[in-house]
Amino acid sequence: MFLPSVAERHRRAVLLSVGVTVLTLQAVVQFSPLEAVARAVTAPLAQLTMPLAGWVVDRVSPEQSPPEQAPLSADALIQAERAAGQPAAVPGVAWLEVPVGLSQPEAGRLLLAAGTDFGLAKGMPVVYGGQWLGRIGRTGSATAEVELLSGAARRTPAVLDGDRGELLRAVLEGRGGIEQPIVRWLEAKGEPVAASETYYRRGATDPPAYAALDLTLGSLVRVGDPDRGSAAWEVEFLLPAGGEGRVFVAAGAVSDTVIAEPPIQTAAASLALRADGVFGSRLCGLRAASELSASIAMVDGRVLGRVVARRGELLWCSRRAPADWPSSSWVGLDDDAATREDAALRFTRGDQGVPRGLFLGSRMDPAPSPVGELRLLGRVPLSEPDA
Amino acid sequence: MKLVRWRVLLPVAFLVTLSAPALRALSIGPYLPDPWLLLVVGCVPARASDRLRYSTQVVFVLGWLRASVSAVSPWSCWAGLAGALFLRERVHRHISEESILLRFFVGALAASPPTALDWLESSRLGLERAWTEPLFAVVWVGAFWAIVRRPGPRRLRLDR
Repeated sequence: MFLPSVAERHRRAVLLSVGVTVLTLQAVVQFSPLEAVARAVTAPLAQLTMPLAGWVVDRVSPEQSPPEQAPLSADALIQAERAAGQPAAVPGVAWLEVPVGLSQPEAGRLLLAAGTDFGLAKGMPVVYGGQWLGRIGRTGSATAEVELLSGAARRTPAVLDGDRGELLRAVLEGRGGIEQPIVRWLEAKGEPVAASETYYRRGATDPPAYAALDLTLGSLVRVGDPDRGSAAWEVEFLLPAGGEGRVFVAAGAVSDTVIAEPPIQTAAASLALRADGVFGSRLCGLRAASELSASIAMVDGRVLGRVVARRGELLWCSRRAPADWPSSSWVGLDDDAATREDAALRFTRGDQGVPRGLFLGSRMDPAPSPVGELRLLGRVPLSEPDA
Repeated sequence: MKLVRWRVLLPVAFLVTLSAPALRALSIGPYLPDPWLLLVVGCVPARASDRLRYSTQVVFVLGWLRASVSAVSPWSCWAGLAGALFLRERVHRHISEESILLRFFVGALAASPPTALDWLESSRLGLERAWTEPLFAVVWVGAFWAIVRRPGPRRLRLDR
C-alpha cells in the first residue's frame, strides 16, 4: 500500500486545515457573491432533484386534506381598521385614508405608503378614530413621514380639564423613545385632573376649520415627587393597534380618490417540494410563475408562511401554525377591532416586506398545508421621503 | 479500508437525496440521521488526507446533492461535511479504535460541525428546533461510526 511521506502528510494537513477553515468562514459569514455562485451552481441540479423528491414525498407521506373552514373576507382586518379609524365628519375638513408602510413608534414616526402624489403635505394633521397622532413631516412623491406627538422635541398644543371645571391650555412636548410626552407651559388657572383626557387644540398656523376637531391626545398621569419639586404631568400616548395599519390625514380639499392603496406585488406559484431535505415539513419549496421579490406565500387566501430563501425561481417558505408566529408579527381581530392582545383571529402585522392584514388563521389552527391555490406576495419597498 | 467506487456511490447518493425529504416529512423525521453525513463518514477512509482528491470530490458531490433539496446554503453543506471528515481524522489518529466508546466519541465529534452549521442555518431561516434534534444527529453518527469502524482480525488490518 502506498503511504505518503511525512512532509507530504504535513502539506496535506495544512491544505485541509485551510480549506475547511475557509469553507466554515463562508458558511458562517455568507459572503454574498460566493453565495450567489453556489446557489447558481445548485439551481440546475435542484431542477432535477426537487420534482423527483416531491413525487417520492407524495407517495411516502401524502398530505392530509385541511379541515373545511368558514370563509373569511380577505380584507377583514382592513375593513375593521377603516371602520374604527374613520374620524368624525367636520365641515371644511376632508379625510384622506393612507396605509402605513412602516411603524416605528419608538423612533416617534410612521412611514406612510403615499406622498405628495396623493396630496400629502408637511404639517397636515394625522389621526386615527378620535385620537390625534401627529403631523406629516418630510414628504416624497410616494412616501411621507408622520411625526408622532411622542417624538423628541415635538410640540403639540393641548387643552386639559382643570380641577375647577375650567379648561387649561398647555403644550405637550415629546421626549422620544419610550418616554411619554410631558405637559409644558400649563396655564396657571388651576390644577389638571389626574386620569382625565387631554385634547387637541388648534395651533396658530392651523386653518380655522380645525378648531372643530374633537380629538384626544391621551390620558393625564402625575409623575415624580411633589415634595421634592420634581412632579410633572405626563400624557399616556399609545399608538392604536389599527393605527399601525392605516391613518387618516386632514386635508382642505381632496380629489376623487381619498384612499391610497398600498402597492403590493403578487404572482402565482406552484408547489415544488412539500418538505425540506434537512428541516423536514417546516419548510416547503415553491416555484414562482414570474420574477418578483416575494416575502410571503398564501394558500387559498390564508398565509402559508414567510419566504425564507430563494434559489433561482425556487423559493423556500417556512410553514407555521398561527400560534407559533412571534407576537411582534401578528395583530388580532376581536369584536371587529384590531388588537395587540391575544385574539381568536390573527392577521399579519406588516413588516419586513410582508403586507398587513393577511389572514394567518385562528389561534388553534395547525400549520397550513401547501395544497391549494398558491400565491406569492411582496410589498414594494418604500423609499425615505426627501423633503 | 477500500474506497467506495463512484458507480456505486453516485446512484446511492442520488436515491438518498430523493428520499430524504420524504423521510424528514415523517413525524420522526427530525430525529433521523443526516443521510449525506452518514454516506460521507461511511465511504471516506478515516485518514481522509491520504485520499485528498477522492475526499474532496465526495464532499463536493454529496454537499451539492444535499443543497439541491434543501434551503440550507451549499457552502454550509460543504463546510459541514468537510469539517466532519477533518475533525474525524484529527481525533481518530490519536484515539484507539479498540473501544466502542472511543469510536462512538470520534463519530459523535465528527458530527458536531455539520450539526452546528445546521443549527446556525435554522436560526437564520427563523425555524424553531427542539434541542433534542441535534443531539440525535450526533448520537446517530457516533453509533454508526462505532459499528462500521469495528476492528477486524489483526492479521487483516492493512490500513493501520
